[in-house]
Amino acid sequence: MQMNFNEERPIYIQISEGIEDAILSGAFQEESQIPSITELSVNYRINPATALKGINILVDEGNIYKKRGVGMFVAEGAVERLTFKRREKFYGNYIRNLVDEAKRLEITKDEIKTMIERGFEDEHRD
Amino acid sequence: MSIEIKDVSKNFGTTQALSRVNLTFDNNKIYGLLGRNGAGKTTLLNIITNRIFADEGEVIVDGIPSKENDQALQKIYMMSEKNYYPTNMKIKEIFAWTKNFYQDFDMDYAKKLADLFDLNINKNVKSLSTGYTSIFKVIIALSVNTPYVLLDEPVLGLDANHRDIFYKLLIEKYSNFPCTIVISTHLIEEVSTVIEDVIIIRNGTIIKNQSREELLSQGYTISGKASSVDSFIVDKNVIGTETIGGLKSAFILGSINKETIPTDLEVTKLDLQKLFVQLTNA
Amino acid sequence: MNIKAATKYQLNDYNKSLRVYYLVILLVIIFLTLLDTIWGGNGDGTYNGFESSSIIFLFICGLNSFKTTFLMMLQNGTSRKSMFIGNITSILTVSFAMSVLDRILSLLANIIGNAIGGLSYSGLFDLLYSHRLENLNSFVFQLEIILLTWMVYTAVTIGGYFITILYYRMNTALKVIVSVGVPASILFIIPLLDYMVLDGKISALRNKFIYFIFGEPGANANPYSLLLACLLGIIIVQGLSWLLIKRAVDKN
Repeated sequence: MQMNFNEERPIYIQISEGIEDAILSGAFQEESQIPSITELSVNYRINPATALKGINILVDEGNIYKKRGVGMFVAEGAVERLTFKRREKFYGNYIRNLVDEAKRLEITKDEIKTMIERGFEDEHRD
Repeated sequence: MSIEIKDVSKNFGTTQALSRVNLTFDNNKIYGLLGRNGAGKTTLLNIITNRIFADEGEVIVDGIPSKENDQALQKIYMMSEKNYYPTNMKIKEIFAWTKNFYQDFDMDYAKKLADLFDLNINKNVKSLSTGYTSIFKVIIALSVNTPYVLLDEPVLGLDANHRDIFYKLLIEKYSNFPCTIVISTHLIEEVSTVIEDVIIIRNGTIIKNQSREELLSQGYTISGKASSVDSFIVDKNVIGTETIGGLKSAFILGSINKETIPTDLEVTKLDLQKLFVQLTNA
Repeated sequence: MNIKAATKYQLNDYNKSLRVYYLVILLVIIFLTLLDTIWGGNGDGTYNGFESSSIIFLFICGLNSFKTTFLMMLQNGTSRKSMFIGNITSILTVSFAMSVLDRILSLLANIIGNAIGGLSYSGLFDLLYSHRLENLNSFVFQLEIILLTWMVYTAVTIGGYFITILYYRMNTALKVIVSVGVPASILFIIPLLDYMVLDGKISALRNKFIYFIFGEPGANANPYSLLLACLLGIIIVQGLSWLLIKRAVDKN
């Protein structure tokens, strides 16, 4: 799980989104264990309270559950729920920003379409 | 369980170092005590640990006034920027004496950390570089297991690698054995993710004392073309601005209404370092 | 409470220098004994008083035992009060150990010296109070000397300690004034004042004091006068030291 914190949004939200990404990409499979609060906070040099706050978002949404004394696991159906949630936010998070930036750069609608096609074709990008 | 600082004032000659400071360090939290050099951070910590005396006010540790009280003082370990250990003493002797004074000092853990940092404990204090002088004190602070640990500029002279190890060890220690940690520093960026609460001190007065998230959510940064930014901020509570070429960033306190923001301006979160610089300027 | 640790720490402070000191003393005894055996012929040699060197040694120890210890105590969450109690405890312990050791060494040096050649040794107080042997048995006399030595050693050490704290508490200007003023007063101003204005009243008082402690010239001295003087000195100086330590702060 890679995470580079930026100061644009609160860290706990970035933590929760980072774990969401890992679940969606299959790095954390459903019913598999995810790193503990301590591991997360040590690894990312963040306050454990912050890590907990981030994890709690996922717990509240039912995508992570805790087993007492064992650890935290990805809930069944998490991928489906997260995919749905992310799709809902896709327009606001990506399309609007894309269009705003395109306007600043004076990129036309058609040029964007070409780029999107290029993006889909280019499987080997990082 | 807390350290309460009540109405503490301190003057050095005609300079007022602290002026009626009221503050509470609660149980098991990591605090950032932030201030510019000379703001009064070390003076405050020195009063808490009875190294110097307040002119007025008192410090209460878990209900006991800390002034000249071993029972209260034993609950606190302070790592100072300056060295208080005999310079001709070997590090391993210092560890052994620390164990005499602080019974919960974990000798095995201290030795393990010394290995981790490549610190030769057979050396004496005087022969250590600035970085390693910080390291041996950091090791004691991490091994001493007191309910309160005060760290005054802990990463002084440490290279990037050692700093990273230090912060990770600190968080690990804190996760496994929760205690109250106060990190006093002027290097905000490094500690900003580690601390839970922020205390900003300026000219001997506490100007901010709240959770980090809360503090940062009280405002935002707006940036873009200087003229657009200027017209946007006219009626806002601006705490500071930065201009690079034709681009301007303004740091604003207050809530944000996304609808009213012109499309050519970008909104980002406040950043602790920048907020700190703005609040402590002049 | 941290008194135990504070005492242990301050006792340990003496450890290394004590070992070096006694090594030197032993070497001196051996050297003098050999010297007398080889070159002394059959004449009777005498030497005396390594208690005086112990006194100088302890005074210097007292001078050197404040600042480093104070900072170490501050670093280790120990109050000034615990440090102070630990300090007087360690001084009493070290002085006692040294007075016993010095007595044993004196007796040994004397026995060995006499056995090998005609070299006899007397301790500082043997000379002064030997007249008491007429009425006391030798064992009680030894105990009396140990007690007396103990108090003298303690008084000297806390004297050194007091001077150091005094200097620690003073600012630079005061330090200069005291450093110049005190020797000048003792050597120059007071004698002059005494001579020109007070008709020798001060020196008369001083003599009275000296006679009280060491006996009138020609008369036998009472060891308990010196003991009493030391005890009073210890209490007064240590009281002053506490007043100074109580408000001492970190100047690091």
